[in-house]
Amino acid sequence: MVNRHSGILFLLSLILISLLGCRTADPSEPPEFILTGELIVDGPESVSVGQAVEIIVEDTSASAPDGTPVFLSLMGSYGANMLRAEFENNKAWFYVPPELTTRSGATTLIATSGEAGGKAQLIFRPDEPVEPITPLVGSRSIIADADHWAMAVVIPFDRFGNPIATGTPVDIRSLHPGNNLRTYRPETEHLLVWERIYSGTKAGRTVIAANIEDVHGPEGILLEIPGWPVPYTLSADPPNLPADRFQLVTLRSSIIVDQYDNMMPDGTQVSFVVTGPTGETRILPTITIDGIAETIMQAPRTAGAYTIHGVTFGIESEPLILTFSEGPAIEPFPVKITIDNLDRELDILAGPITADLDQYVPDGTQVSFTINAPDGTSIEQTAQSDAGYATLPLRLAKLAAGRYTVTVMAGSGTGTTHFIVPE
Amino acid sequence: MSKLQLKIFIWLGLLGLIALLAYTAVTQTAQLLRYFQQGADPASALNIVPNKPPDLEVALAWLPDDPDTGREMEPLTRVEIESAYLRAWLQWNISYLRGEAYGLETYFVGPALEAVEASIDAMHAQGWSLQQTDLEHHLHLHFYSADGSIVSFTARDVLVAQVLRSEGTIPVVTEVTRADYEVVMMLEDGNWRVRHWVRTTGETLQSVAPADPETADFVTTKGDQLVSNGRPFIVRGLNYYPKDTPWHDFWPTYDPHTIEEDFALIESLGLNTIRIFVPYNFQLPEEEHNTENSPTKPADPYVDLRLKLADLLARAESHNLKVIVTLFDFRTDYQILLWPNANRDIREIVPYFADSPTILAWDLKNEPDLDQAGNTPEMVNLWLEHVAWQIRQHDPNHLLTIGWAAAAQADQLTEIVDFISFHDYLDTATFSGRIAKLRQAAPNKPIVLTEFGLTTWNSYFFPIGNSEQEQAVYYADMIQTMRNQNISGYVAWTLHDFSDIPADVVGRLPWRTAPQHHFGLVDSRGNKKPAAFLLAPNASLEVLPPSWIARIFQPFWQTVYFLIIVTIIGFVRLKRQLDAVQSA
Repeated sequence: MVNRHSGILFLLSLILISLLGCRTADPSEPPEFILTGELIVDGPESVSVGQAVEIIVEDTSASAPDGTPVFLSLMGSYGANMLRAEFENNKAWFYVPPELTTRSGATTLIATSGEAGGKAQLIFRPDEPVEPITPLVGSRSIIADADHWAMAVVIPFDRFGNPIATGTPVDIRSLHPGNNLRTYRPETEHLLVWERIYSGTKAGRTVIAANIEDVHGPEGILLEIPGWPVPYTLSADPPNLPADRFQLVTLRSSIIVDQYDNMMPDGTQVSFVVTGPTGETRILPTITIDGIAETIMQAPRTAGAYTIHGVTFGIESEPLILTFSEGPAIEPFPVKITIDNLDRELDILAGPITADLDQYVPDGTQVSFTINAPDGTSIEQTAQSDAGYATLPLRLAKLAAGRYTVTVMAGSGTGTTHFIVPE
Repeated sequence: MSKLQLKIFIWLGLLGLIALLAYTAVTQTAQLLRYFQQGADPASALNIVPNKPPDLEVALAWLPDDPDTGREMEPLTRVEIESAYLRAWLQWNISYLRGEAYGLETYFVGPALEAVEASIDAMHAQGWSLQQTDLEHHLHLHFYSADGSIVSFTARDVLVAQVLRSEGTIPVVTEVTRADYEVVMMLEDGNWRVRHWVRTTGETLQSVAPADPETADFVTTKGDQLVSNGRPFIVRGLNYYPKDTPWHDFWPTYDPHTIEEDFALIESLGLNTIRIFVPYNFQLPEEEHNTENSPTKPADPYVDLRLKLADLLARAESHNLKVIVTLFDFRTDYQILLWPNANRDIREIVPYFADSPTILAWDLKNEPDLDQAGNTPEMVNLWLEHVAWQIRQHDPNHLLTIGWAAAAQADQLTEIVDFISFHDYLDTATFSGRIAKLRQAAPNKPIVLTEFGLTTWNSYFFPIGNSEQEQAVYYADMIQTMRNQNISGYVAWTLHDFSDIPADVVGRLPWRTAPQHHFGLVDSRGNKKPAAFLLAPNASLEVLPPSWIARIFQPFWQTVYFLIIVTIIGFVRLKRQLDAVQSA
């Protein structure tokens, strides 16, 4: 009997325990608290970067039980940070550590708890500037004409890399060639300062430096280069040569300078444009060294007056007129015919062909032969002079019988002869 | 079945299988050959990746430059800076989404690079996640260096949406902020990179203002009533699609003649409103993109849409109809990086019709509560708040509403809408209670039922369906309840029975698609169903319920009776044969 009752009691206990274990909620348990209304976010309006900040969030309804969680988000220049605290006497205290306050700018503080919220704004001011204060200079080179300019740009920043406060004066100095020092004092605006650096009239290297009080940095370099050249003169050495296609004449400019007497830098390209008596042109490119452009011109084949201009950046020099005399041969020269019946060959030998000092014309001088046949046709051939003579061999088999006239020209010198080819 | 027939069936089956295998082998081999014979696009050899993805729809406008910017900026440089700046934001947003600094060094340099990387790492280390997207920028150029390598500008009114949450929890902070940023970018290695940016002002956006139309001919609100020209306006309307081109086919095949006929029909039914749908990310059909084929049609899909919508509104006005325009139809993705695309839809549509009194309201989204399961309720609602705010920026005149799929969901976001709208396809007997509960949740807002209806599909095979008479009874009950509850109107689903229902509307199951074909008040032959005459303002709602004979002879029951009769006859014949065998 006892065992039977014990079994029933045990079973009832089990059922009771199961029922207690399966209950979902205690009806007397209060529902989860959700805060509504407005939260006041109290803190400084602005602080310097890198400083810890204390923010207090207050529940205006004064209904938040102690321990109710509050979240504070800080939405700043570079994203958001989130902090969590709990209400105690309707206030939640937030400590924003220095590592979360290193970025300058306006930060929106948003406090939320349940459905309650509050907002405020906190400005993080940038810190003092740190070295280096680097002037960024561009363009790297400008014309030294007191009209062209480059820029010096400085983006000063604090120890956290934040651009420094708007309105901070920055001293910029530029030392131009000729010990010409200029100073500027712009103020930072839109995260930087910039200044136009106008050129002087003397070409050379300009050094630019910037500092904010005793915070300094490296220099920036600006090259002030000569501007457009003013017209210059040309000379030739020797000034007179025969038009023999062999001899060389040196063309040379005067020192090429700009309007402020700044010499063109080495390597400035100059083109000598040579215009012949019949209008044909030759272009001889070269570069300047120490402001002077120099090149070598080969004597032309045709005698006459040649006009030469130097052209630099489209600027033309004064013209130089060179006259090439007739040449290389001046006087008439003998022409002989030799016939080699064995080889059935006929040689026309012109020479000695002499130049103005009665010396041989240079080897390789072009000698032209004109052979007028008995039927009225003519043959044009050329040969090169060698040691004052030029030879033109002809095959007799190709020549019809009759009388032939030979005219030989070398420069302005000529020679004539004739020969007969038998039947 | 004889043995010969069985053999024929087996052979036919084998032949079919062989044919299918041969077809598959040939087509797959052909595709493989085609794949290997196609060369790469020559342009891909250059590997030029644009900074700004073509589908990035963040709005950016340049304000007038400062009088002295140091150097005048070339148009190409301006485009490059714009692209690099937007891409820097995008890369930052993507990094937050991934929870790690990702590809930032291409778009940030120096202190800015350190700062953005640190912000992402810190967020991740603290166990928080941030999703953010930039929505709008207005750039004001201050400085462009003489050598073209440094630029300084202010990005004004930068709208940034941020959702901050602890890992795996609901969002703790969801805000759209408006801020100004001072920005310095530098040209390095041929790429513009952000070197500094500083947020100089910041504010969270104000709540959505109620509609405040300039003229009295707009529909507006007064307490819990809609009013137009100073008099109460009761919405009596229909959701509208043309009979032959519903849903996706509506705008691409827009036919003014059909619209004219249908609107005349709607007017003749005594109605004053239609509700239409504009699909999200509106696109033209492929052939209309080719302006050579159709030179009169604009290549910009939004221009095309605006022309058609303007035509529709003009025709609605001529038939004394107001129009509820439902935006973002079929949009189901609410992730924050796609919000700028939604903004583009708003920019390209809403401002152009802000002054049209024919529009009754902008419906922000059709049944967004159905999307809350696939996303999260918080993200869907945050998106709705954002969209409401955006529309209000472009259009202070028109009412805003959200077409919730159920009355139980319509008590959400009541503070951002001018009137509450919901859909109801449930039992008419409990409809009154649903309205009462909703009114209790938002006592000072007008309530409009923007979808309700009953299909007249009657299946021979499924025990569901209704007759046209039952539809009329349903309508009479619903409208009577709404009259009793004094709500601000109703918009029935829909004018026509449809022959084609897209699969993404209700799926492909026949017992779901079939009813959708027959919700109309006008059948496929153009005949008005009895319910069509109940929507007018003073229509009598005395509708006789179907007779008991009609009920017991509905198609499904006809099938049942037929089967019973056939079964009985078969049973009797079988019994006779068995008796005959036994007696033999």
